[in-house]
Amino acid sequence: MQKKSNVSSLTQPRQITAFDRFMWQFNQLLKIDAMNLVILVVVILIGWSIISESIPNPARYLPSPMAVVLSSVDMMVKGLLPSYFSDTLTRLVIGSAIGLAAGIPFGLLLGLNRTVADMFHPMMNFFQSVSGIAIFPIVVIWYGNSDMTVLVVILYTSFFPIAFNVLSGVREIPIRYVNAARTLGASRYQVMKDVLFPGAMPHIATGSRLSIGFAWRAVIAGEMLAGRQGLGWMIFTGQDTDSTAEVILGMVMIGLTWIILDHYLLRPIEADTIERWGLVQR
Amino acid sequence: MSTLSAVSISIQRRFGRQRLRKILLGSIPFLVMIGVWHANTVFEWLPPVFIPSIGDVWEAIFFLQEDCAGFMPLIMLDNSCLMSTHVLSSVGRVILAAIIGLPFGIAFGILAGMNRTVSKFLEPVGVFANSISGIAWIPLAIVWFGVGWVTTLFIMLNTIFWLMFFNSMLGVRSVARVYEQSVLTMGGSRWDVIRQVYLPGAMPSIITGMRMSMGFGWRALIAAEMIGGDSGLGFMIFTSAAEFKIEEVFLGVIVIAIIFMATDRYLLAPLEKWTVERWGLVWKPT
Amino acid sequence: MRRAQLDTDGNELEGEYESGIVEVEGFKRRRWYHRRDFRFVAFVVACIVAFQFYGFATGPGKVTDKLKTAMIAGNKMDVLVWAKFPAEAFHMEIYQELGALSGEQDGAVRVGGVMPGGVEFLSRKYWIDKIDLAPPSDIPTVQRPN
Repeated sequence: MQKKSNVSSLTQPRQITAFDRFMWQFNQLLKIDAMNLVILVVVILIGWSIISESIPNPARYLPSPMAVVLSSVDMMVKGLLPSYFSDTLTRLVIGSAIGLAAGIPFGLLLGLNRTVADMFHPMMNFFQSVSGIAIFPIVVIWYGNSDMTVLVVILYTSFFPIAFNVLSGVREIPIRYVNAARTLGASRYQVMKDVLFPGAMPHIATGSRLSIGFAWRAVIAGEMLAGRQGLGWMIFTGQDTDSTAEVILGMVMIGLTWIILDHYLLRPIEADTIERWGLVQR
Repeated sequence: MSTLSAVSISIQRRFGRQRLRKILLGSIPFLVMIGVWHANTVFEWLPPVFIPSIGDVWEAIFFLQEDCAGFMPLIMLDNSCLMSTHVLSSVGRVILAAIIGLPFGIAFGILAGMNRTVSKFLEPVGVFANSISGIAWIPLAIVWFGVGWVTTLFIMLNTIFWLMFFNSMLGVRSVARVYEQSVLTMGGSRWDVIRQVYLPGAMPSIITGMRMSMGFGWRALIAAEMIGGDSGLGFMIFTSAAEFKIEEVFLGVIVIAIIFMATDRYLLAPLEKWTVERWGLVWKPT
Repeated sequence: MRRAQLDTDGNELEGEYESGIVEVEGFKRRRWYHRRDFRFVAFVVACIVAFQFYGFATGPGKVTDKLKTAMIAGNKMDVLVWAKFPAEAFHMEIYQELGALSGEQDGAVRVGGVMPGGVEFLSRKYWIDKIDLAPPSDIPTVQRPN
């Protein structure tokens, strides 16, 4: 009896249900990193609470995690947090979209001609290494404490890294590819479309991620310095008004937003682009 | 004519033909930019409140250094020598942060790269700390340390440490296990493995991380000096902007760019190239 | 961070998860809408749309009938705004942009000279409870120059 049922279960594989698949995925999740992450977060939260309990005046120096959660609930109810968050994200999206839309064609155009590329390479390098935050005081004198100031700083920080990266990418394409295309009778436009653009594709992807990363830092710094409403402004005024819970909340939000943005949007696009076009480089 | 061609040939020999061409070509946009800048002063397209003249920017150096009484106050960071004090305090902070932050970052990175358990718990922290860019720490640092040099040093250290940590960890992980096992088989100790395998194997990655962390750290330092500092180049340009002294702001921005580019180009880039050449074979990019 | 993908039989699919391309024959091919980045963007857009829709849906219910009839005329009017909590600097700024703040009345904030569009904008905010037409006050309100 016992044996027979065993044999039948071996010969007839059990139908795999949705529940089985769910359990399998759940087990994988536990096995890989979710459990570690949960343990880590719990340990950090406990350590944080112990420290904040043991220091004098925790509300000023290190509010407990509970205080941070409470302040986030408070700001949610009062409508501040969604407003600040959407302000910051809107700035990032607009600024980096314009920066990328201008920077990629600019880099490609400069890279069309070797002489022009050699000519502009040092200058682009120079502007790329002057950080956007350093030119902030100049922009403040030009536009005052306005949204325009923040936007110009973001544009500057996102434009030059991407343009420089695209230019370097175009320069690194082996000249024999261009020559081969030209020998086969390709026009200038075809060379650009079929050789230079695909060849520079991995650099465009890496440069985009880099420049959006710079732009994210610039948004935070710009909001702090120019006093426009947003997450950066939130942590800056939180320090001014002694509400450190808001500062920590803002920092956590800034960090999490970047992790999520990077993991769900920028990295897949970058990895995909490099996988698809990366072979052209070799 | 013959002397001219002789000079030309000797210059070409000195720099190399291709490099000379690149240097000459690369200087053209800068010259054009300076020309446009000067033309702006001459024709006044934009008022000097927005774009100062080149002469004003040059004279700002001497204006800032006006009260400087000799060499001693200059190196003692006296407040009378504004320009040199700000430059030296910024550079000093960078050096201090590098001396403290780099070894710690490398040590923790190698530890995390060697040990799976350590890296399991330190890696998420590192990811999070790296994504809270150094700038976002400034308000909290001001609460903790007040406005001053500790805050700026903290921001710079924070940026350097986590980048360094990450790069050395990835570097150690990229070293093939075979090397470690062979050293252990031949009777080497753990310390031998670190010294003979991990450190050289991770070296290219470490040096790249060093270059990267200096770039990010310098940016973060300027921002930190603007918001939470009381000396340094960032502080100088921010206060000058508040007083609408645009020539001092331009001067500060140019000095910041030159210091960064010179360090990167003549110190870190050659170091990186040399390391990759020296130890690069061990390193396999993933 | 990478998690293995399953096919219909619970086996692990081979190939790069990030790329959305699976080269193994006979398995379900990953389509463009399986991609992580596309799903993320779709999720964010859905959240934004839902948030806005919530505002538009609940907005008209907060405006009292008296104010609704007054809004049809299209003139500037004084309104009383009830929020769920005492107004702070952030809320004051929003009121200031729409009209002239003129003190409190019955636990509400009195905003003078608001256009009907301003009332609609205000009613979409989720932290606002009720908007009513303010009774004419004896204190002369400061009219903002247009």
